[in-house]
Amino acid sequence: MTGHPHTRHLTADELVLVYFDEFTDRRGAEAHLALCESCRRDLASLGDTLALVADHQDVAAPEGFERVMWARIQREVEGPTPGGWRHWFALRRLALAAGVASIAIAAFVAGRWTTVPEPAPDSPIVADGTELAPERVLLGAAGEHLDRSQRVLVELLNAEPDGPMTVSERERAADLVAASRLIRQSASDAGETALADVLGDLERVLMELANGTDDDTAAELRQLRQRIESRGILFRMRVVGSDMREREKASGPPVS
Amino acid sequence: MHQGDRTAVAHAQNGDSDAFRSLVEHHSRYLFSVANRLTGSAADAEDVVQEAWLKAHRQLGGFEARADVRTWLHRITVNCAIDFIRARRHREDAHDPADLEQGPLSERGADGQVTPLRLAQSGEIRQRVGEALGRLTGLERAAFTLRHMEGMSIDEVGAALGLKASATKHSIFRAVRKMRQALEPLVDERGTRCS
Repeated sequence: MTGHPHTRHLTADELVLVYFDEFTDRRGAEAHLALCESCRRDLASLGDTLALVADHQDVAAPEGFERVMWARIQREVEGPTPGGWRHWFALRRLALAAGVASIAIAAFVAGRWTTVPEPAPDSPIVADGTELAPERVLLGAAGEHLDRSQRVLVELLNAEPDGPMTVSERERAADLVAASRLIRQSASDAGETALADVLGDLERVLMELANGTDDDTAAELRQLRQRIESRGILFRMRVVGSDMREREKASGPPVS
Repeated sequence: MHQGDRTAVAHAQNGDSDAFRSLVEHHSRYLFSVANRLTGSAADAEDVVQEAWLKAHRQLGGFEARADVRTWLHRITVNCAIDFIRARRHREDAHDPADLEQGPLSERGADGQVTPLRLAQSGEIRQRVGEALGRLTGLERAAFTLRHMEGMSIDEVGAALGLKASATKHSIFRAVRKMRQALEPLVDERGTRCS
């Protein structure tokens, strides 16, 4: 706090502190700036750069973000409505019962029960021997399927821009297509339209990945990545997957 | 304060979930921008905004009628983002993504006036700013944004991020250095420093 002009120029870091009004010897800096056109220019340039950042830093939210956000928090905000849920489940129980066998197969294909030798995958049970409710099978299988598929898509998006897909990546995609079809069909039967819709989009992407060849050009892969991003597939998968997990959690202890 | 917000909050405090929904629909996009500035990731920003809304819902009872709703939500979102960044810190790769050896950007800025050309360049400038921010580490970005955009003091930033003042300054200096290196060619040429 000397108030005496600095006899040397202010360093770049000191100018940052001056700009943010956090320089200890503020009066000394001001006195120097009053005398030094060079430092004034540098401070102005710093201000212009930081103003550019402030003016152009914002990224717009994805389209429909506010509605998706509400869908993500609605259950917690509205709180449990036991009667409503029982009613909802009752309405869907018949449809779900019809789809449960295929869900179990889908989960098997996706690897959900591959490490559990008994019981057979078409009669999923929890540890205490209780038969799982059909809706829980759908929620569990769909949630895990979405998680697994997300990992594949994230790897694709983060891969080398011009790098080819490997054989194992295509095989993973092919496995996921098979599981996805069965889960989508059951979701559709159960009236889970948001899940069925996102699985439909996911399947198309997975199909292209699974059917790809070494001759696929970098441009084709770029196109695929762009489609994933432009349709917000990952975002929707996260939202629906999160919803599945929440509902599975609300419906009882975890399935393992 | 937005009168609709005031009414919505009052109703939401009485358990009206539709009123809370109207707040979500009115402010979520803004809060996404706030969270995205701090986290640098759309996916992380989505999670932060979700947590912010849940926290806001839990804290509805403590909201003072005279306060500004957006300011209140903004503060909650910043706090959630800070929590998120602190939790992420231990996972953050120590690798510095900045490539300070990169050459200067070739594009020169316009004359500072709002012209059609300037407007046309705005999208590209936004992209350049995004790229420059992408070169910051998560900590540098958070410290810089909290100081520059949120107006927190260096001491406050340090306290929020769990850093000492010197480390906070260091993060901000490094961030500013990188931003200047990447963006100064876009701003007006104002001469060089004297030696």
